[in-house]
Amino acid sequence: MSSFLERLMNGHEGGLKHEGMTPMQKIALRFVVIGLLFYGLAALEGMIMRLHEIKPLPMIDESHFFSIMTVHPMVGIFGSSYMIVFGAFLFLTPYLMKKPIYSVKLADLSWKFMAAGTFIMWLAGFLFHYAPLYTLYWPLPVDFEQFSLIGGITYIVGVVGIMIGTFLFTYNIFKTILYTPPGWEKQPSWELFKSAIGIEGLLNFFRRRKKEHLVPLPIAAISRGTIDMGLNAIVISSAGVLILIYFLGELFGASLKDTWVDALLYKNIFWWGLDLIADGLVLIFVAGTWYLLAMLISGKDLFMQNIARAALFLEMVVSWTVWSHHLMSDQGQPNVLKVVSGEMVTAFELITQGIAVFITLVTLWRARPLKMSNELKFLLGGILGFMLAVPAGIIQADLGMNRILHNTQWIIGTHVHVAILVGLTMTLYSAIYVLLPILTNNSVKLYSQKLANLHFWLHLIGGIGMGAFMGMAGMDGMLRRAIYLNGEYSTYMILAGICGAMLLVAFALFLYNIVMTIGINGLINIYKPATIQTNEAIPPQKEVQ
Amino acid sequence: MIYAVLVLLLIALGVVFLFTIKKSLIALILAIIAIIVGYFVAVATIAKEAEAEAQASSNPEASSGA
Repeated sequence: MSSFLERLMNGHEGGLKHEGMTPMQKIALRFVVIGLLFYGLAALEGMIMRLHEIKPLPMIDESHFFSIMTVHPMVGIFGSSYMIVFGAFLFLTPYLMKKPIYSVKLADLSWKFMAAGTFIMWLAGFLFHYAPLYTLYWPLPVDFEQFSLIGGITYIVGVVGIMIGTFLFTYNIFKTILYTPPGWEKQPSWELFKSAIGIEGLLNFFRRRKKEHLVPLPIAAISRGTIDMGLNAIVISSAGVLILIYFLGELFGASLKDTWVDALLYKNIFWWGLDLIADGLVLIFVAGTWYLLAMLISGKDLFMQNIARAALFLEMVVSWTVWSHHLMSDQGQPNVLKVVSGEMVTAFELITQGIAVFITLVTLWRARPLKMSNELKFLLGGILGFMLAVPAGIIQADLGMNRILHNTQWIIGTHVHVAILVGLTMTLYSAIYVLLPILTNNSVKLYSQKLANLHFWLHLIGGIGMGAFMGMAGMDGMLRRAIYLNGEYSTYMILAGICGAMLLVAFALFLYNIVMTIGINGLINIYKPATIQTNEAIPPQKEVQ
Repeated sequence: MIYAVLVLLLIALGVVFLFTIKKSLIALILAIIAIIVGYFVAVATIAKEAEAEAQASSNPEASSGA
């Protein structure tokens, strides 16, 4: 066998040695591998849509284009970001709490439900061209003149799978934080609950004698983000059941009137839930991950820990009251919601996210000189992404600016894609680089640092560039969710397409580097049952005191 | 698992809200508050369950009713 094939199959310097891995280490890697594959799918979909915007592709008709647009964010958010975050947090929660995970079985079921649900939902677009877009504005999802019933049912079945996986995750995370493992001294469940969700921190503001926090700061972030995740899953599930009721009515020949549901009220409740991802758990999880990464990279305590905890609590409350910035151009929306929730509370995110950026950067600064490792590079890239995307969001959450920017490429480019691709994804890459040695018991060595550097620069420049050119097109009036057949915005779209191609190449290089590091056999072995039977996060003998 | 039951109830409550609330800002805000409070109660039941399990394992005789 040639040395290339040998390395491809068995990895760099022997690749992944899976025999010593715990079930939780394997499950975390299963989540990450599936999450990366779905990221690749979302990136391909994005590139197809980008090419179609430059010059309509003959093999893609209008209904197919909009079905790709419907599943693209769902695959990206639930299939990729959620999967990687679930894997990381299901491992980190027991690891940081220094106790076994409550249930390995539930953790294993979570990734299966998430992966299957995302795939089924994707099939609804691919096979049946179901395309009410991810916002599911009422009554679009139940418009049977545009979409087939079977497509809609397939989509909802997929969403149900994702929601089940999400609820299993939320239960397992909270139970792991709160329970007493067999044979252990009794854990103070109520005190842990109060500390995790922030009640103790809030009471500390009014106490002379401050109580010690029982959960580490990253666990506080995981808990508060998981609250938003649960609330979001309830709202999406409620909308799913509502849509299913209409599907069943249609199926049994009793068509229900779509006017029974108030479209504006539906939009408010749906966006309240959906925004708990964008302006809730993402920002809270990211802040918590930055704090953890900054502490691990610098080897020092976090700067201004108490302020960081308070900011996490504030972020959670802000995330519950911020949704109306999505309804600023709706004529029927009450003005009080547009101003208070849409403008004023939204502006608070600049403060909460600003605090997270400041604390992370000062923690790193105080530990200098630091080696510019992969995890540090990607962490700084992630911070830069949110420093660009959050102000872009605040700009559009202004009643005047919203008249110009609403539903344009600015929203989805400069704000959403920069936040997700540069801010969130680069933070996740940093976490992957930090977790890889911990998850593999230091058994793997990165195949190529040059490829890692190339991945970093191509991803950073591609992500920011694509967002910037989409934003410029938006400022010139290019709408999102529209196909331009006469090349009105070709220049911007070609430039955004070049940057999109850089993102795709960056991902291909990263994937190649990881496959050559672990080896195809190593990747397959991740999905084989663990030989060690334990609920501990890492093998007991490797535990660091 | 009380958590699962409460989550299902909250989903059903969400469907009821979607069908019944019309053009009322107060009702919208109350619905949001109800879902938030309801979910905190659901998560609190996990703490209660964990507390009860810990009590039972530290005092097996009491838990078996002996």
